[in-house]
Amino acid sequence: MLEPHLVLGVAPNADEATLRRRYLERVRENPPEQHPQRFAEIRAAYEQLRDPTERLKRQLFAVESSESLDDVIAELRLRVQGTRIPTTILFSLTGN
Amino acid sequence: METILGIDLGTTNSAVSMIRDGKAVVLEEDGQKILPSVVGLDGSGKLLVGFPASNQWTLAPDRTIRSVKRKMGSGETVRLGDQTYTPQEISAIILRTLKERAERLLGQEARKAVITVPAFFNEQQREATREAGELAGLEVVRIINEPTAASLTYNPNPEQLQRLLIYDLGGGTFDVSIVQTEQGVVEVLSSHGDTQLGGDDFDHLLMDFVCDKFREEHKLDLRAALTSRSRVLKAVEQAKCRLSFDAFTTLQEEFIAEQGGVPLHLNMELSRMDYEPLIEPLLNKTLVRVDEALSDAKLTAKQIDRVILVGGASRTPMVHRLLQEQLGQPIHSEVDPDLCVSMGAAIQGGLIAGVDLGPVLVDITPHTLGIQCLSERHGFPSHYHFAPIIERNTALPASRSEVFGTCFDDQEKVLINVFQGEHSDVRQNEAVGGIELEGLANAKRGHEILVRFDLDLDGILTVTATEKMTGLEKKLTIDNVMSRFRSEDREQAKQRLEAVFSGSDAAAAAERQPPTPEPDEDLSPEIKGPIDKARELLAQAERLLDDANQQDAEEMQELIDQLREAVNARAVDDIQDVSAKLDDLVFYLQDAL
Repeated sequence: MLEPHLVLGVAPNADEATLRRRYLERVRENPPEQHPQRFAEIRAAYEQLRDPTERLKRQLFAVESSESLDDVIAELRLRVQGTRIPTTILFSLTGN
Repeated sequence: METILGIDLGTTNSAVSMIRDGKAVVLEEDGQKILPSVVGLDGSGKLLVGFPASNQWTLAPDRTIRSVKRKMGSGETVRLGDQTYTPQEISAIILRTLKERAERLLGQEARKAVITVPAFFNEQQREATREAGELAGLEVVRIINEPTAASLTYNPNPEQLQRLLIYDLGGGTFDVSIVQTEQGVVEVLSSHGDTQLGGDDFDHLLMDFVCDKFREEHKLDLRAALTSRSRVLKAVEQAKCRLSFDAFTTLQEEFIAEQGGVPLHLNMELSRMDYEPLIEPLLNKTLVRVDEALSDAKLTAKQIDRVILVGGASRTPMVHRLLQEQLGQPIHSEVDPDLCVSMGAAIQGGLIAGVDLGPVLVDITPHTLGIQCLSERHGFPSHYHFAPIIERNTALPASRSEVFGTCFDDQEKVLINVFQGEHSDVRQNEAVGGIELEGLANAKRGHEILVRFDLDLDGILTVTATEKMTGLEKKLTIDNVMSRFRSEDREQAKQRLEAVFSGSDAAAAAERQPPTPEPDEDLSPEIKGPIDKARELLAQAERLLDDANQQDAEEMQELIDQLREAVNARAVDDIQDVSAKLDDLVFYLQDAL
């Protein structure tokens, strides 16, 4: 099977916004109704690429990766910061 | 291009739409867009569907069927007049009526349709719906989820990402779905629901409330007799709808019962204050589902941009109030909550036909699918462990596989039992089907078996089990396994429906309809006494039919038929003979039930 980033047609280190934009484009070109098989591949590739653990694993073990480990860790840190739940939402969850 | 109809087959109401000039239009006839999902036979055995059937319900509840959708996929049957039908057959009558409506308006044959089901319907219920469509002479090109259909009627191209929460409370079922719309792609993120919760339940709660109050006053239970019960139910149903607009309403039903020769009337004032506490527990259940849907979508209430209401029961003001409190934002219902589902189905039909209508839809499966396996549960080995293969909220179509191992050395076969549900114990989930992979190669335990699930856009599952070492393979498509009818039965059912529908088939009509008894005036007292008693007994027996188990019901039906015949023939000896037998059975059943 093709590498997920090749299925979507993005660079291996594409950021989340690019991933999302490209995924939507590919889905519009290949609606599940008309191309179920192709859609399933696109979807599977997108799910793999956006999963942070999968992403990290791939980057760590990617042979052609030109990035240094420091880059990977820096990106991961950024991602973890990005997914942190804002305190306002935490407060709203506790009610009143 | 061939038209694909969009059909909302609802618990209470149904509707049919199609695409005209790039837009979804609901097809109306005689000024009515809605077709009540009610099927009945009139006094002469003629088939009634929709409003006429709904109107005769209070007069002839024994010849009228409502809310058959709640029984879909259950294996239960319903009685209409003297015949027994499957829920699929009754649904097929409704679908065929809609098909014919569309054909009259189109002026040509309409063969294909997209039919909607509650998102939370399981495999059996979906399959039963598909079967109903086929019995109605339709090619069901897709079964689509109702909230998803509703979401397609909203703008698929918002300026920026938009997240919708669709709260669909219908006559018999409840669904909540979270949908994300961005750049023309409509993606369902999560679905939750309850296939046995809806406006019908509100009616029953209100009926119980009214009947209890009436009993306190008159020492008489209006639910005991079928006709007074259905009159109260219809009255409270209408009162419920009035309470959506007014704070108070009055129930007025004259001559609803008789007590010691004195007629009794039902005259009662109802207020929203009486009604709301009755339904609050049910509405709270829906709010729990809303929370679950949000948590599955990994969203908070604040991240929802619009809340959309679908289904007749969502008109209840209390629904608006509770949702607004829970989600902290205004609630939308711009597209008619009764019609948007069928319109969305028509849009989906257009998408399948390849018409460019804007949105591309990505839907999900709301239930986890997996197999039974041996594993440790609470430290003990258990045969009932549920191993998920396709997790809920996975986008469709989906293919997933897992590797399992044999339990013993030289194991000859493996049994693959497929279940649907969220519990880690398969006994708490829904059995879907199973296959046996036989003739495995001799190998040590842990011999690898690959189980692959392919779930298509209709939610139809194909299971493939492969022995990794040899490539030995076995396949099963669940829609074949779950089919309620074998093909010849299906053919028979089709013919039977044809007969019911055409109405011209006198034989079928005569079979369904008991011969009309002759007028009683000229009867001598010796005959009249037993006949009157027999009629009373017949009425009593028929009331018990629904609740009796199949064997008892069959036995009773036979005696009922014999007694009717005897009554019509005025054969006193036979009447007394059969009456005695039927009386025994009724006595026994009343005791048992």
